[in-house]
Amino acid sequence: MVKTREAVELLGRIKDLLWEKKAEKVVALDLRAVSESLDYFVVASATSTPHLQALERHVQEKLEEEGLRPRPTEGQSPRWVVLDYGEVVVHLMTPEAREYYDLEGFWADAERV
Amino acid sequence: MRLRPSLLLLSASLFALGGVLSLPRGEEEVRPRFQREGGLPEMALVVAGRDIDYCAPRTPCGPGSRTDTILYVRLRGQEARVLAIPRDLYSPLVGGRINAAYARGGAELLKRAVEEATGLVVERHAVITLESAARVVDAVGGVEVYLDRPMRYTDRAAGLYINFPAGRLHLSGEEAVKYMRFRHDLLGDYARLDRIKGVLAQVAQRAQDPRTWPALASALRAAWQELDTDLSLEEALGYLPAVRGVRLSLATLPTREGPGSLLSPDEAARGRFLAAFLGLSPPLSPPEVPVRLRGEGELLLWARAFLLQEGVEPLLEEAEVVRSAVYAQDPRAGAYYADLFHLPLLAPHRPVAGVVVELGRDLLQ
Repeated sequence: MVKTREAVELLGRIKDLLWEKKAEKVVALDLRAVSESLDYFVVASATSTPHLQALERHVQEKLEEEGLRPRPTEGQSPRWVVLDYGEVVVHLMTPEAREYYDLEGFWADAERV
Repeated sequence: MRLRPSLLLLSASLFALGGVLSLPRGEEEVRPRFQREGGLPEMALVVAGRDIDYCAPRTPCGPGSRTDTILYVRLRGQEARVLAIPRDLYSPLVGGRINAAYARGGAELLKRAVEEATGLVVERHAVITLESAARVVDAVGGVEVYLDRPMRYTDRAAGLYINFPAGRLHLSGEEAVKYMRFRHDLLGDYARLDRIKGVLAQVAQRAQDPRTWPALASALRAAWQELDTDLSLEEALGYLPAVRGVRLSLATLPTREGPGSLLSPDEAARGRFLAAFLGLSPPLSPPEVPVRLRGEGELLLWARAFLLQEGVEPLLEEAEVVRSAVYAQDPRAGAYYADLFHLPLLAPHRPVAGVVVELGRDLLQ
């Protein structure tokens, strides 16, 4: 588990990696004030399923070079991929899934960072 | 086409995931709106699990008409109170066991029978299938249980083969359903209901983990297709803000032995118990009941020091604990410690002296 300052740095790094691969609507949420168990989310859209996989691969590979591996997750879906880096959880979604599950609406009172 | 939410696996577990409640039916697209203002939404519903009908030996022909698992669920804001109703309870309205209500008169008779048994109003129903329950358990990565003795049962006609060794087990969805269906031990159906409560509490806890959400969303989409409910989308959406920190309390309706293998409501105990269980708010100071901490070394010492600050001297018991929870038959006393440790309260049918706080390694994660 990373410390909070490190978590914020990781958050920035993940956003950069997503922008590098042209992810859309990259949003980071600070959930600490609104959740007992979650800290930060990064939510981003891919334009297609191959783009989604490319984003997943890029973030995973680049962070692995820095010694960070996501925790294993249960049953990924072709529309919604979760990369769990402890305090920072990355949600990569197709635009339809993004709109449908509306994580940002659900966490509307979380601070955007 | 009417919209229905994919709400409610065997009770509150689905409330742990927001967006999926708003799955539209068919091709219709609906975008949920989230409201935070106003008072706490409140609802009472019956959630039941359908068994399987067999057309011939080992030939399942679809979801059955009996509901062996019947839960009265009271939702208020982030509180979910779940009352398990024994399947062998005699219902004058049904003219037999309450588990036949759904077969004889559909969801409406089931609701009326639960009202009769509990003395409480039931507004809505959600009836799910065993397959849906298994899919949702799989989506959260299965559940962990601890068996004191092996669990074995074979029903060839129903194709039900249960064979679990004693000890700590990790169960898949299909296995968890078998574990919840088993009732061939000393306490019979009561023990089964206690096992269901344990699985529900774990599913609710695991469903709050974002790692499970993509899989849970898929499972719920499939479950929704098989769900029989009269909930409206608008009603379900009111609960979305509450799902993030839902607090679960589970108990069994007090009953007494009736004629033959039937059970009757225990009128005297029922009123007292339900008033305490449903009107539950934790007492402000520690209730005067013995408290036992069960768990592993360091956790026991940490929790003991924590309780000493509250002026409570607990008994300590080293034990292997699979999932942390608070067990008490006195709902008020249990509520105090469930609140203190932020753990689900499970009021089991089996006798519990005072309050038992079980502390497992899941607390360290």
